[in-house]
Amino acid sequence: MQRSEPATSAGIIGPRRAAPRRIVAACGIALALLLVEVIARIEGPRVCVGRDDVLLSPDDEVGWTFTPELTVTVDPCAPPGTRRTWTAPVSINAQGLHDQPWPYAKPRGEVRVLLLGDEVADGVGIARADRLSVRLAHLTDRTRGARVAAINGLIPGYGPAESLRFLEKRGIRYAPDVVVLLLDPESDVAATLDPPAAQQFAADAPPAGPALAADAPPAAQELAADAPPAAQELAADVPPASGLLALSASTRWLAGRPDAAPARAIRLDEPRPISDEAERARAQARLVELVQQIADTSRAAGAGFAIAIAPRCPLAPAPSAASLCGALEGIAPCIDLGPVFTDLAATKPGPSELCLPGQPRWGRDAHFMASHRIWDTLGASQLWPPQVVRGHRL
Amino acid sequence: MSFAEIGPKLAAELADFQLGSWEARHSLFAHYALYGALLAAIGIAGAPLPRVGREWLLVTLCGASLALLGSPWLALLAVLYSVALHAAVERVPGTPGLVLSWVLLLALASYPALLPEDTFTGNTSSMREFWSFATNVWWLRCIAYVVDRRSRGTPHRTLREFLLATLFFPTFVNGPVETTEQVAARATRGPAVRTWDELGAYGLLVLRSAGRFAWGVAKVLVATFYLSQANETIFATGGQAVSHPRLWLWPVELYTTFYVVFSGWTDIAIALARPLGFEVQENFDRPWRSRSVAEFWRRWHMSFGVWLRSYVYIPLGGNRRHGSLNVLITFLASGLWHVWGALKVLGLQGYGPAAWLGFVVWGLMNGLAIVAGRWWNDAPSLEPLRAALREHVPPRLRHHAAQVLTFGFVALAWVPFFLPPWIDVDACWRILLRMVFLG
Repeated sequence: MQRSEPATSAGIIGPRRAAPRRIVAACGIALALLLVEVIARIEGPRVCVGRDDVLLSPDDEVGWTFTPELTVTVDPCAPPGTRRTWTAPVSINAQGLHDQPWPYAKPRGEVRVLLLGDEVADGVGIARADRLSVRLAHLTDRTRGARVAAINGLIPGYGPAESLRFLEKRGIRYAPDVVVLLLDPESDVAATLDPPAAQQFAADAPPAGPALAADAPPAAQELAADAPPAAQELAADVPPASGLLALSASTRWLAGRPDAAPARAIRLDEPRPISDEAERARAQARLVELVQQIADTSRAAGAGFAIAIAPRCPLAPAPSAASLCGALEGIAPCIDLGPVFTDLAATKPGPSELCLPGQPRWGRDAHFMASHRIWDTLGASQLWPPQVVRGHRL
Repeated sequence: MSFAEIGPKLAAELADFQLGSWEARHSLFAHYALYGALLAAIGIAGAPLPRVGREWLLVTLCGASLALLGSPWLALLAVLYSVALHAAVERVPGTPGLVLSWVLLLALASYPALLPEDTFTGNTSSMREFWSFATNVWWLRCIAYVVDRRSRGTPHRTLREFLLATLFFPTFVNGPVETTEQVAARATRGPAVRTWDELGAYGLLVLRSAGRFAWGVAKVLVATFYLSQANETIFATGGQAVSHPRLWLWPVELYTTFYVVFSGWTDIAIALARPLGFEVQENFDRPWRSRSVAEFWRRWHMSFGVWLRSYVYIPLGGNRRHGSLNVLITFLASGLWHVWGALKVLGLQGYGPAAWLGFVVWGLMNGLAIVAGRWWNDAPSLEPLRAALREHVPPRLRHHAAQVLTFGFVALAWVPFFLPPWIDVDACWRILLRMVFLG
């Protein structure tokens, strides 16, 4: 700008003139480096949402969960150089859930809803406030009624069998008042015959050999670190930093290596699709058995139980969904969200955000609609405790 | 609630708060504050550079800010646009230059209506929000430069000065709205630390700035997580969801929230700019002390008020002719400027003309209040009434009554301002009726 430099002070010459400026420059650089470190720690590294080896960890009790204490920013796995359409923060709690820390002991007066199921509504990829679990809790008027806590127990790859195991080992410890099981009418039915396989491998070694069943003993699932290279893309991108640099989040950030990278990594394989109607009937019968067990376990723990048929993205009419809800309605109240989404897509002006682009996960609109319908189903079935009051948060 | 229940309930709320703030790290505000602090630190590190070099460093940091908050593509687009506008103003003489400048300005204004909403930003809502906020301020600065140079004969500014003033990263996202001339007039000599005494003074300045930065962050976070949580419920139910006393307090809460959040952004902008050698103007001057709506607009978002006065109200004729009409047009322009901002975030499909009414009603309410205030002050027919008030009501009481009335009116005017676009404007009337026990 049009202004003059300050007049040189008399008697200040040579190195003494330069020293204050150098000190300012050095302090500025030090402050900048410190802030880079702070930002790196807050943001976490950027990780493709398909990186099961980073996002998921083996768990001796329940098979696998999200990687506990993980903080990353996910993006939609776009190849380098292409435009990323979204990024989203992911913070995993110490219990491996994509949620805030929940103590097992329930505070007095709190009403708890536990969501169980697969990744479609786990909320990875959207803002926290838009997530099904958060919206479900916020639909309640806290000023006139009880505080509702919705615990996000949705974990990628969880079918009914895994959800049952999670409920038995962990879920009931949260003392839920209501359990809601989200079921995909395709993959969850198929998973009853071909449970999701979870390959495990040492974090720095690639997986090899056939996928192992998730319910095998954990020790048997671990693969030798010197296994032959079969899937190099899952190995770490760069060698780990050593010495002081290993403590620096910014070096890990630059390397795309998360703070809480699991010691043992995991990769999920999709269940084999159902081939014919006879197989579907067998799978559905098995599914009904499992859902009955989940209902029994929930009710034995003093919780109400409901089912939501929650189709994966991309959303397509699933002829089996209606019959699935019909088959399960004898066990518990059931809401089929497929038609809800179809109606929204047909009636909402402008583009809807029902799905995250290129993902099986739901977008904001699907979480919004699902939260309202599930809330209403629980209300109509009188599964909410009487102290819960409907609010009007949008 | 019993005393024993308070502890667990508070703990649960704090857990919500922690995670809420943790995940809010991806909000525009968190990015602005964090990246702004980083860029300011790099700017401080550039202290040994000569003035021109230091200012080019700052221009580079402004581009980096755009790339970090938006994308490298947006940064390139903004810089190229600025270069083109500067060339149109400075290099193309006469009417062609003026026409070209206004074509460029209108192109920036009209793109939300002409192009799909994610043309520049992808479908990332935070990036749309950033681009909307930033272009709001940037466009006003560009208009000011064209008008100042072409109609008011202000001095020529180099491309470096223009880029620095219009893309200045501390104020680029949410103002204050400063013109190139104002930035040049307020620019201090920068961190030219040549003696030990100056080093000490500069160190103190940086520390004071850090304190103001922290204060701004605290204000925004506290207001975001603790105030105005009931807005959607109240709008959705026309005020039925809350009791009458709560409903009366709600506009006050809206006012308070907006003031705390907005002034927090300004605190951060001032704090980031000061160590770099730029005195950003204050944007608020205790607006709750205003005794009239006109005074309120001299104390609230002052930089925007000055801009509207300089580039809308005075060119229309100011007080000289059709003063009341000019006031209404100016506030209508203010409302439409906010509509334009929302259009850039939501697109024409998500924010159709019916939804524009909230901002338009807010603008007209303020404009009409100022016109009414002028009429009250100036109408000869009201002189007996004014004289009676002067005679019978103590000055102190008149003063405080005027403050309370102004505060109440301005608070009520925020109701249509904060109307969510998916709720009909009728909700505002239903809320107002319920406030006076008619709903």
